[in-house]
Amino acid sequence: MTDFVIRSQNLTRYFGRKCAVDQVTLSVPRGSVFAVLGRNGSGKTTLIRMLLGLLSPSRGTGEVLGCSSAALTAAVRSRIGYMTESHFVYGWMRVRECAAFQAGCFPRWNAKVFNSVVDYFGLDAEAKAKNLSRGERAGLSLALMLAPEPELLVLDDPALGLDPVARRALVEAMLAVTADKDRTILFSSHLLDDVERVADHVAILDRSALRVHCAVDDFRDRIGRWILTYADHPPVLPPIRGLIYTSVIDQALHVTIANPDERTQAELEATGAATVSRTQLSLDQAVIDYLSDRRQRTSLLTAVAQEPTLA
Amino acid sequence: MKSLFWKELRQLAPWGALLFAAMSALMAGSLYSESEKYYYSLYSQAWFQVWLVIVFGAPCTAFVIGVLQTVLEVRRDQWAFLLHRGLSPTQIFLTKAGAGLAVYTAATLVPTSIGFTWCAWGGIERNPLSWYHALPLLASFLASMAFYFAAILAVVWKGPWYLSRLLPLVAPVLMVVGAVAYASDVTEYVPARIFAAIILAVGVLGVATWGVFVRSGEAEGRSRAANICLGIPVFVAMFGGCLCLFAVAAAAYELLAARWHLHQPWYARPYTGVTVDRDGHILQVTTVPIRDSRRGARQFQRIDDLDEPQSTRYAPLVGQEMSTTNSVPAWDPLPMAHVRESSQPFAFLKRSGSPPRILEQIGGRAMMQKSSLTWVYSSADGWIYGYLQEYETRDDGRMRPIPPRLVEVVGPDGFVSASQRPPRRFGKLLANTGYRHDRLAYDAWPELSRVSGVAARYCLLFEDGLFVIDAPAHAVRRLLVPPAGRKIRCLTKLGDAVAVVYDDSISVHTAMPIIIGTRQDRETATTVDESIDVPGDLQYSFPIPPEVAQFGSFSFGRVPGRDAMMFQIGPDLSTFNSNRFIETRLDGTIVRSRDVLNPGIPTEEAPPILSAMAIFAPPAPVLATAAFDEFRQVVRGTAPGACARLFRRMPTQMSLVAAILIGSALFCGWSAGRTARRYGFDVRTRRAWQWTAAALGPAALLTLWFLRDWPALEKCLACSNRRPVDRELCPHCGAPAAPPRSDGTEIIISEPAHKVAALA
Repeated sequence: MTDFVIRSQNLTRYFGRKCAVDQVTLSVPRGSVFAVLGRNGSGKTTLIRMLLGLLSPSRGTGEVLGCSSAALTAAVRSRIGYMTESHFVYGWMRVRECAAFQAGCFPRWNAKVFNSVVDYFGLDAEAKAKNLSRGERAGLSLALMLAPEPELLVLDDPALGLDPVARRALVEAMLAVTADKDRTILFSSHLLDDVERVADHVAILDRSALRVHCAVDDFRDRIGRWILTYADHPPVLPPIRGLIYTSVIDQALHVTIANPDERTQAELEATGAATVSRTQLSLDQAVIDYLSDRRQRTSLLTAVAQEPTLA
Repeated sequence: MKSLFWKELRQLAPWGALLFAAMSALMAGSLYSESEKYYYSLYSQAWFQVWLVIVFGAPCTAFVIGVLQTVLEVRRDQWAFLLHRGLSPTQIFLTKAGAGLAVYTAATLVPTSIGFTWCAWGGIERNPLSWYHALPLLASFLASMAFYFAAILAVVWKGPWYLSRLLPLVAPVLMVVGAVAYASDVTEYVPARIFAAIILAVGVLGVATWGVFVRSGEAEGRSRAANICLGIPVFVAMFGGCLCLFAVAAAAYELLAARWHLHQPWYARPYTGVTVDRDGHILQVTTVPIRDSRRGARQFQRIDDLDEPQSTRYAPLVGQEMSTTNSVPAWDPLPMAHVRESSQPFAFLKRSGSPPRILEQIGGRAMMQKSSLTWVYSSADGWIYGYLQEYETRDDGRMRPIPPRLVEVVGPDGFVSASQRPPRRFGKLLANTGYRHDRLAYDAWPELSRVSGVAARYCLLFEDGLFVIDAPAHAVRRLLVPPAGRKIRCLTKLGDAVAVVYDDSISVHTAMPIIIGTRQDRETATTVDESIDVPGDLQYSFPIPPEVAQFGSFSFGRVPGRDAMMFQIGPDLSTFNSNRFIETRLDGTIVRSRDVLNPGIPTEEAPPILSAMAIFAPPAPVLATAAFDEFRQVVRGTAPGACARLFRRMPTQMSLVAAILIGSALFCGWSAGRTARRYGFDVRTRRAWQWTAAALGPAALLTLWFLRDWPALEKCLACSNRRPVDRELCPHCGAPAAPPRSDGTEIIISEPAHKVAALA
């Protein structure tokens, strides 16, 4: 049986009348790199904060490293590394003071790890945190997170605002961490190529609800794109199971469908298409199609082209 | 924890230094400015300035530190960075609070201690300074700590709306005001129980702050102890708010009623009081202001002889003007002498026999004379200190005071020079003729209003004797010595005689005038001796029955016809607004005891203020007090109690008041229950709130509403009722919340999870 380091059951959070996270049930296996994806405001940060006990859920429960999120003990917290999206550190502290401050609060502090990460990012130990660039601050945050040798790393959009070099360093650090099979990473991100490179599990939050929770490969397999060509202008499609996105490119109708099965091909052919062919999607394309607005189910350009006044 | 403590100290250091500098500057400035005010009253001593600085400075400092320590970290990511570490939230809170209070202590107590030590060392003015003077400073310092916690609450606590975060500030304000009022109006000898109360109150706020902090300000998961402790200051604020609302409503009612002539304005209403005549009959006298009388004169409207209801003896007086001295023909009230525990407004907080103020001024200071002697009694030392105040003339011709100089010290045996100390000490000072604001002295010597300010000799009443301090002659004369084992309680005038009140008996003496000064008669241009009466030959004495002695204040008079003593107690809180009359023989045997409710404003003129008050009053304490009074009166054999008597006198209005009180209890209980049911409280919590709201009234109901950030309500798809979003199951139908809508595009392939306690 799989050992899970994070589990949640119907985790829900309201801010006033707005539901930020709606009954999310997920489990993160030990040793996995788990990506939480979603559009802005979909509830990723709220979910992470609830899992770490920094925010009380309105409903539901969470569990991290076998301990209830609502009552994480100091010992359990010291086994979790957490990096916020703003890479917050006290601006008035010097780099070495940051290390001394954190070292006093984490029993398994490894100064070698801290120094090696700091050296990798080329940080001056005497520099004040407020004078560091965003990338350097991310490096400092990463060093502060890794030095306590946590079993579980939780990173909330760690690459936000970083330049490509800093991003690469961050990804490499994550890969290095996962070399130890017992370590687990849960991170949220908008950078899908990074996700594709490091993640083996993915969860997608869409409008507060968990829509996808599976291995990355499974997700790729479960999202299919078909190209339909017609003799004439593509017609308006009838309801098709699992349809998530359509777009018209060069008179061909590109259709993205979730959870396709053996009947999908037949349903598409029944629309009167001259040819129906399936293509492979990258994770990047699959996620973007998946997160497109379901109410429209069509691309903006297609919608504009179909407007009678503009057509 | 150590690294977090140092981080907090480092973070607060610049602000702490700034606050320290501000407190020090304030202290230095106020002490320096004091040097120009030697000629002020007793409070002009430098110590008072030190106290003022801490009274105003400490709450501000505590509040600023509390805000600074949290407002910079309460933002989402900072808060996460602070809380997510290998320390429990409780440890983090304790460390933060420890650092914050350390900075508060350094910023307030260090300058205060320096200022105090400087005053003790000599300071600007060499007034006697006892170490007891540190107690009010300590009380203010401790009480102000509440502001620190209230500030953290204001920042971190997520109240139902923004301004409700300020509610916990009300309790600290009341605490500081109470501590200041106690020390300034009752005594600076702040007793241990006051300190215990302050520490308890600070502790309550501390626990509330802890509970709020560790849950990041949210109500969900907050401990029961923290909820109760947060509820207490919120309740205090709400109760205060209710009182304010009542006051505003009553004032508005009075204004509108006067404007629309709904009833007579309060100043034109009749008033009924209770008194005794020379036959020992208890009279109920109603007087009414005379319309258009500029002197505020009143006339008799009704006089009832409660001991002889059929009597028409006072009927001729009805309609006649009642002068301020009550001396119209045929009006013959019994002369009564007054015994007061103390003239201080917070005297009920002080145990009988507790120490007086540390310093008592003996004699007023002559302003801007070339030189003058000031006498100050130190109860801590038991000696009277004489200071010579001299002035120098500046270049611009203005006179400037120079620091006073101690020249003499007075004890029971006489005067000694400044370098010596008398062998014996005075006891507790009760009254002195030299201080014109001493009400006890005016009871003893009503003629003081005439002689005050011209006295060269001071008459001082101590527990262990009556002394005359003759400053010009450098002599101390003892006029009265209490019998062995007895202490004097006070001196009071009974008609033309002087009564010495001891703890268990009263001695009535003939009045013996003694000259205490002279004045210049402007009309005749002659020097006139001014005298006051002191006890002369003993005429008679009688014991104070224990039923009377237990009260701090009472009146007494001798009924000539029956050779009996009549004691009158109340009306006040201790007698539940009743006048208690106890008649005794001269040997102390009680002849009769009668309680007469103080009617005040009669039924027909009484405004519906009482009804309005009932809306805001806490029903349970009011009803419990009424029941207790009834029980007590039954036990004492003086039933019915105050409430029952009020019911008999004003059945309509009292029924209305009772109905409002009970209605308020029922409504508050029902409303609290409805709120609790609506938001899915468990049965135990719901019942607790129902009973609390019913018992304590609207303030408790408001406390429930303001205690938490209420969750939104959404429509239950199963029963269509509105259900709170933070409940797993609908409190109305028990259905779980509807899952997010599925559209067939979900991809959920999660591996099966084994059950663990947290999710079970």
